[in-house]
Amino acid sequence: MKRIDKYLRSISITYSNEHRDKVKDLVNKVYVPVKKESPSPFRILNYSLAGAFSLLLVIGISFYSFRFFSSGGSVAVNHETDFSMVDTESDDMDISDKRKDFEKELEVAEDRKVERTRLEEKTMESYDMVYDHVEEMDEPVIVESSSPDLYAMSHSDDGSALTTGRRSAFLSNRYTERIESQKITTSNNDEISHSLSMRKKTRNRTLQEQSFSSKEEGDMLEQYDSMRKTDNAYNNAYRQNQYVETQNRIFNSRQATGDFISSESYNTVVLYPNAATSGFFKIQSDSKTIIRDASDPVHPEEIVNYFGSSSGPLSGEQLQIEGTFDIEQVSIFMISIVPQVEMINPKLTVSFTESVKKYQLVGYELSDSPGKETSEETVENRLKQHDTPVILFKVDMDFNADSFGSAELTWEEPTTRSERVIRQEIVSSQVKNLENTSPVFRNALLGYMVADHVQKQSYSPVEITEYKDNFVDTVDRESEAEIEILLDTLEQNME
Amino acid sequence: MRKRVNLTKLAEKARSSQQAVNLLFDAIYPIIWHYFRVRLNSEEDAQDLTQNACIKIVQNLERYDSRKAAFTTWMYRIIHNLLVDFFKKKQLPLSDMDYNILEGTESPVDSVLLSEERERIKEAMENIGDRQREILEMRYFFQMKNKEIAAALEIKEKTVSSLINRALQKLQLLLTEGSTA
Repeated sequence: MKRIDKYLRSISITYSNEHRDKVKDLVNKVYVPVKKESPSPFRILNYSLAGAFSLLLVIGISFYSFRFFSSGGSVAVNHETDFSMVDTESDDMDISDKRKDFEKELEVAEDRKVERTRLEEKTMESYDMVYDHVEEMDEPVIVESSSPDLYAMSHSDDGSALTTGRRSAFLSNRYTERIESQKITTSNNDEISHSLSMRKKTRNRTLQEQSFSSKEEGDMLEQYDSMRKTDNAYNNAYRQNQYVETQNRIFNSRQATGDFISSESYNTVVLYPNAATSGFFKIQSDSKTIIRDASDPVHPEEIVNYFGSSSGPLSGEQLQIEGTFDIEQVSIFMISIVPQVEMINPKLTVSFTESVKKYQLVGYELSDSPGKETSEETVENRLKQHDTPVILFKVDMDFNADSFGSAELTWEEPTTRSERVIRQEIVSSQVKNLENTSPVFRNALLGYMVADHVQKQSYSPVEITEYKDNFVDTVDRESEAEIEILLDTLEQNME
Repeated sequence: MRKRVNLTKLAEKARSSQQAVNLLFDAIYPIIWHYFRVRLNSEEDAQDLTQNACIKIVQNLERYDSRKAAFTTWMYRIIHNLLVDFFKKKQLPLSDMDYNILEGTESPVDSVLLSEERERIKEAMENIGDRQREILEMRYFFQMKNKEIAAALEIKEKTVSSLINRALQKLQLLLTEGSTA
């Protein structure tokens, strides 16, 4: 075993230095350093302390050297010069390096300014378009939500129907397709205030940056600090802009996809919607026990519990693979609500129309903000900005229905603690192919299917191997590990 | 034997330092190259993916949060996703790793000791299954800790430990069988 261990530790593959150098050059070209934090009083204090410490050291060593020579010591050691030189040089180099870094960062900031301006203009243009649409609406009502997802609504004449306008829908001129029988309980002008403040911020920032280059070097640190703040504001605007674009893509994708696809194979199981490319999915371990009639809605606490749940068929030994499964029996869709704000005590209530005969709450997926590889956080009754809770249902439904129900998300706003609400219809056009969902989710879904459907017959190693080969994603997860262990156990038992 | 560099700390510094980026690159290039080379038959493909991975890692350094995951975990996900995308794009199944291209870097004395076993170990490595081989590779070549492997594969640390032990046992069994045959 030791030799195996030794061999494994020593393995390597030779590589081409030419290719390595080429890639290194490319890497250096694309590398953009992140701005360092602005100099803080503590850092200045550190430099002062370092200087003071050097001085004390010099004095101390001089004093003891003097005493040593005075007492007739035979070995002469002159540490003073060495220590002071090292410390002084180190300090000088440190400050010089920092200065160079700072200057480099300023150059990078200047280069980025052009890009920022372009994006800011685009963002402001988007806001203007939304406002134009709102102004054109009859009796516009602004929803009590700071989410850009629901941007404006308009009541029908009798007050029972509502036109919900997603900002993305407004931008694509399709908001009228969202007419459903919904009621909004409260309204205010948070959205307008939010948007106005954003416009103000971006304009102020432009003015600040225009005057930046003319400042003296002595003011640069202050300017640098200011620039960091404006950068943060810019980043927020940029993220928001990205969100709008993503929503537009999703919307267009849904429109293009058309009909609700039946589940002929696992690749065509219909899911709605999963914009994220990564995330994680958890399955309620006792989901089989909560199949019930559509008239009995999902209780908020049930869904909240899922957010904090860390157990499930895939995460422990509860995954019992004991037979075959028929994937065509499963019809699944998901409900997603995308909050753009931090939520406290989020509660999601889902109600179905008569077209849904039976349903089963399966689990949820928490999609993370774009760009992150995966998320490892648990929600614990608290959604962060950009988190996307996706609720997955297994249903027996009438596929010809236009609407299957609605989902309502309520939460407390962190600062004012006031209650907020978002409602969303579940409609047939909101579809997405399973292939476009995250591998983690697909594994979890398939794991669920196995757990739910394979308990009818006794298993065989071949069946489990087929499941593993055909349905477990190449991104290995706990399910595959469990299956491998199971297979090994089976093999041993058979021997 | 390669010395374990604290890649997480290096990655943090590399966010704002060109020098640290170069050091980081020197440390990760062989790992990434190894990862792709043993999985791809074509050296050119391995070079392309290695290049893409290095660039992607450097471009995304700003997003890396050391509080959430070790750098190797983060890096592993990126390169693994690139590989999966590559195979999807080519509409090919993930190929088996080719351990015949592995070479030992042990000392001359060790080399003598291991020379006879190397071939058998290579052969055994090909027979222990993708999953266990990958975990062994992460453990020994990436020098990832069990905790980091668990995070990268999203499995329990206990499972990782179990899989490593079982893989080593399986290797040993295969080698014993090979020597007695």
